[in-house]
Amino acid sequence: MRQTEQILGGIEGLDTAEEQVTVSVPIRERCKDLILTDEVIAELMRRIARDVEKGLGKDTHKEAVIKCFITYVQDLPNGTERGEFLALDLGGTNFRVLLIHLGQNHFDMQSKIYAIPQSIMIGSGEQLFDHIAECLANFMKEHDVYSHKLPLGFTFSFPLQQLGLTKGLLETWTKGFKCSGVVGNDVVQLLKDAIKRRGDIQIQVCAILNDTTGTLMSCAWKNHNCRIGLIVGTGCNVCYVEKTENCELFDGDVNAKPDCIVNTEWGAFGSDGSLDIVITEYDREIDENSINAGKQLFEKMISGMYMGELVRLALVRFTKDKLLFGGQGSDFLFKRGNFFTKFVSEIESDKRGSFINCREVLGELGLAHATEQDCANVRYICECVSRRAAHLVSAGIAVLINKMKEPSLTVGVDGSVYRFHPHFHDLMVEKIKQLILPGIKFDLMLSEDGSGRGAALVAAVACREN
Amino acid sequence: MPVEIDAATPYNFNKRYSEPAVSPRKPPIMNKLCRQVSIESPGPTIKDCVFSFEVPVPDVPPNGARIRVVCAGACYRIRRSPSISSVSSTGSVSSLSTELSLDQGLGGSVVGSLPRSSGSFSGTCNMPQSPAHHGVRDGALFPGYEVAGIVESLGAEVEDNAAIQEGDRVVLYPYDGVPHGYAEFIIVHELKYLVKIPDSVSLPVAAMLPTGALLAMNTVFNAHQYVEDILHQRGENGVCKILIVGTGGLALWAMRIASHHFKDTKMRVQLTVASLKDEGFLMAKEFKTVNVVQWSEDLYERQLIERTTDACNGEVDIVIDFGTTSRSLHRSLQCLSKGGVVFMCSEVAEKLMPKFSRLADERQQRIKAVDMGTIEQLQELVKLVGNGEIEPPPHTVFPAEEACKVMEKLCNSEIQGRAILQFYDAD
Repeated sequence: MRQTEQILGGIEGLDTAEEQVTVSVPIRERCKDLILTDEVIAELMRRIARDVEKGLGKDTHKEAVIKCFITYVQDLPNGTERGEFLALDLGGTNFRVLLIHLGQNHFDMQSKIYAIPQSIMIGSGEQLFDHIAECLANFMKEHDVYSHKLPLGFTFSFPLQQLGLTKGLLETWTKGFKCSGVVGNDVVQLLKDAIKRRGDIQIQVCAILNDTTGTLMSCAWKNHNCRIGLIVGTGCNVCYVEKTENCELFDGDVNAKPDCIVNTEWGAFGSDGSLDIVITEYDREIDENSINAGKQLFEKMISGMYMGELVRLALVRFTKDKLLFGGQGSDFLFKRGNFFTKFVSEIESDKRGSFINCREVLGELGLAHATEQDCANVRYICECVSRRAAHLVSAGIAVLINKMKEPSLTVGVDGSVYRFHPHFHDLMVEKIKQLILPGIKFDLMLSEDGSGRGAALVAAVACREN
Repeated sequence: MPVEIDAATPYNFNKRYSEPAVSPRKPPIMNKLCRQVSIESPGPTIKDCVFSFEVPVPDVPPNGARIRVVCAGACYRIRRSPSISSVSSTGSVSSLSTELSLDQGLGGSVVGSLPRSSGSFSGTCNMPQSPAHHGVRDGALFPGYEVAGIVESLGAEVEDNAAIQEGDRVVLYPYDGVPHGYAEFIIVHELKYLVKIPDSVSLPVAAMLPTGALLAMNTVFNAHQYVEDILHQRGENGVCKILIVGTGGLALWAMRIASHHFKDTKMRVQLTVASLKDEGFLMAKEFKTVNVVQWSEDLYERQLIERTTDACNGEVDIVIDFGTTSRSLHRSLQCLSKGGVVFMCSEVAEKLMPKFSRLADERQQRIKAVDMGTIEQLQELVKLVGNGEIEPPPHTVFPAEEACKVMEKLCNSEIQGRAILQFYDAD
């Protein structure tokens, strides 16, 4: 069990109730539609398995909602990789440039985080890639590799149709991005064009990958039976090692190498109605108000971009129904986007019976009048939302584990929800154990910087070949 | 020509008590009423924090002056008691006057020395707790009193050759005993609290100085000794790192004043600004020597801390944090090196210190409360801004009757820089 953390510096003990207050009966009743029964989970697993097969199939790929894009990454690290590599990491809410030195069992990394302003996130694609190229040039200058031509791995954590190791067409923007002129285009070419427009730096793009592939590669470098890469962060996605012969859309010799990493893009699961058995009014409201309504429904039930808002919508509903806060909310609570996903983690980090973080969060929301019963209820609502997310992810992971038929494997995981939520790992381990076929052993391994290190490793493995 | 503010506001009484408007050639008379806007700290509902009503034009004190208020910085007053929220229910002018008199009798400046009421650690306070409006966290909205105007009358006992004359453009230093709202006419009991404004400074800019700029200046001055100590300890190539939190009005002033103050050591004092909004990101970037890190509130605390220490090449030595929340202070302490110091408004420091003193002690960190500065500092500020040595932050002027709307925008950090309420067009 992960150690809980007093996140907001509250003083221990002062707020511990003599009797533990638990969730009120009306709230418990109203949260039932956020709890997944075993039957529902089993049905979801059948639907996910069906949609994965559709994505892999040549005849069914076009209509499939889980696209199962081929990454053309066919080798995992084996420890022989050496050299100096650059990595770009674009996804989620920040952008990083990394310089990585690989040696025998040793790994040295320098990196810098750059902000991507909202105006660029929704501006033109040219502006976005010019911004990336400028950050890259600044970084290379700062680290004295300005005049070097280095291999580069590009982690691009958005749905990508890869046509080769260094060619990827953006399928659709997610996570709040909406740059024009990028969808349908090769993002490697857009990056190369931006670099050419500068005319000052040279790089060799060896691979484009998303954060799930990077996570898998990063963990595989340490643990050679890692076969699945999972992200539960701003977005949610998974990749896994599939038999090349099963990848019916593989363009090339399927017999050359037995394996190929598949990027499922399972966040899109449910776009065809497969999730109707679990969708709530809160999920529908989130979808209707998102910039990609009707899409990424599975992701919207799981990922950090939406988890806080899910909780907020429930709090608003229960406040208006006079089940919380005496029926009196605040302007803050009623405004979309004001309940951050980190609040869920902070509230669930309170020791059982204590509401220190919960009170801090509610105070920030103008709800200082919350009673202890309100705090217990808010915590319960957070638990229901995060538990549902963990169980949905677990169902999907179990489908893949059962499909791969490996007797023992590791799942590499990254992403802010997995990383920072105090109970997410344990919730997942417990549920996956229930759902996988007997005899299989698995472990969840926190990836260390999959997006950065993984990108370098993909480039390194690609160079190993050349 | 004086311009009458439109009398139709949602907070007016049912009846007006004012006399018909007098000819501009005649001085206002004692029983005339004028308009007052009071801004309380924003509570759970923003609309509840702005009050507008009419008060008697005050008599001129014998040794003081009456000021016609032209511009006022949009600051809020710390809410003192629940009863002030019910002032709109007052039925008659006489009891309203009584209320005002009683309130004035309490004394205490809005920033420095209000009567304290201690809240319990669990967050159940005697005072209603202010939610973490974005503008409050950003330093766009803060407690204070900022008035710039024109001397309308001098007291009977003021010497004829006094430094302040009728018609002078002045700012009022917020001494103990300032009025608790922004009225069209305010009085000052002694001329020493007035600072003349040179022609090169407009009244909207002048209105920003008495609390926002002054507090920022005093914070930089307080940090000065620590900066010198750190630079001395670290030798000729050592760097002192300062993090300024937010890009609201207070932080923008702090950035400008610090850039000016440390300009002779600028290669060795590294300024980083934590921007809470994208527009703030662009605003802070106007200073090429200032580093910018983005504090997107939707990120986890640990991610923000990692991002900040990454951008600053390690932990910082000094944090100037005008945010007013536990979260903001906690984050600042996490970015601060062992032995470092956080500066924050004394009003907020008193509230948060009990929660954080143990956490700070563990890392030998110090939380320093900064009061509003002195009148000498205000005079210095007027000079520096007048000379163009310090450029004021961007600001927007709004009619005073839009105070409620302005507050809402400030709460959401929708106004870049400062918001100035204008009562009278005099420039």
